[in-house]
Amino acid sequence: MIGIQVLAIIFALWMVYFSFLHFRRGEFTKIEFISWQILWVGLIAVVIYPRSVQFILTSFSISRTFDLVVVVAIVVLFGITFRNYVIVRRMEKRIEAFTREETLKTIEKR
Amino acid sequence: MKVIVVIPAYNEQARIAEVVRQAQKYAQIVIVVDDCSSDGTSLAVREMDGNVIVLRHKVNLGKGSALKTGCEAARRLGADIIVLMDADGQHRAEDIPSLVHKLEYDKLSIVFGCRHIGMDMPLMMMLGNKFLSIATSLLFHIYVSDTQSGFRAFKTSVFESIKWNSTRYSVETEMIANTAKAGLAWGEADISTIYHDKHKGTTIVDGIRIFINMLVWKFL
Repeated sequence: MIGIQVLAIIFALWMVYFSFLHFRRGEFTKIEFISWQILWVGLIAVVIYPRSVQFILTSFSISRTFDLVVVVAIVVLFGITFRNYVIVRRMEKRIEAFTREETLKTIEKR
Repeated sequence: MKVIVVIPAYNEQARIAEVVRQAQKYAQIVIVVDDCSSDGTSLAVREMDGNVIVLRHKVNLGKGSALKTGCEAARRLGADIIVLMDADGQHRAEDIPSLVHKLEYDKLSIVFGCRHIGMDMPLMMMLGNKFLSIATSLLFHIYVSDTQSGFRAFKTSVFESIKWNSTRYSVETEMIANTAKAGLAWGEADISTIYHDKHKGTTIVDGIRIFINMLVWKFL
């Protein structure tokens, strides 16, 4: 096993622990917790057994498992960035509407 | 005609009282929207006599939102004409009557106060302003010689047509774009300007953002 595999496994185990902590604090629902666990355990499996995803590499004409991991990571990052953008915009709009509403109430009280 | 002046303010403790005092001479009500200033902007105005109303955002939302709150308040208070003015003292309240006069006698819906583009205007502001005027003309077929001036007056009845979504410095340009889209009668009036602080107001980055927003309003 090469160094980068060891690092990836340590990182994934660390994230398994973090997901569990968030679940225990009630910040993750059971579905969220299970989804994240599947992702991190899946990563550990792929790191230990790179050939297990050979069929995916062949179908998408990707030469190495590492390249597949990078491609999937980029796709996931784009997805998360987009989701964060939508959430932030929604929160901004709600804060603006709420703040303006509260401010205008002071006019009605006069 | 009930004229209400709306002044969005953010950290303008030093000048806001004088701006309001001058504006009071030409309007039935002056509304100051304090956009969550960290200095004593609200306090400086709250103790003033006369028809001054101070509204305070609990969160800093930006000039566009402060203007929207102020205009909504003015509408609820029965304004016929809403005059928008900056809080930093760069506009002269003496110009309010000429804006209102032009609005009424030329039967216009909105009048944009336009600063004299000359040597007293900072160079970058002058170039940026010219660029945005040309861009507005090309994209929305409306040429306003000073797109970034915050001194303007409009009839309350057209507020819904020109209402903006921009929360920050794009608000002035969006108002112009909406005026063109709604096909409203508009005009310009010369205003005098005093530049107290050349580093305040719209920056180059704001100018780029405004231009990108213009493309979004046009094509999306």
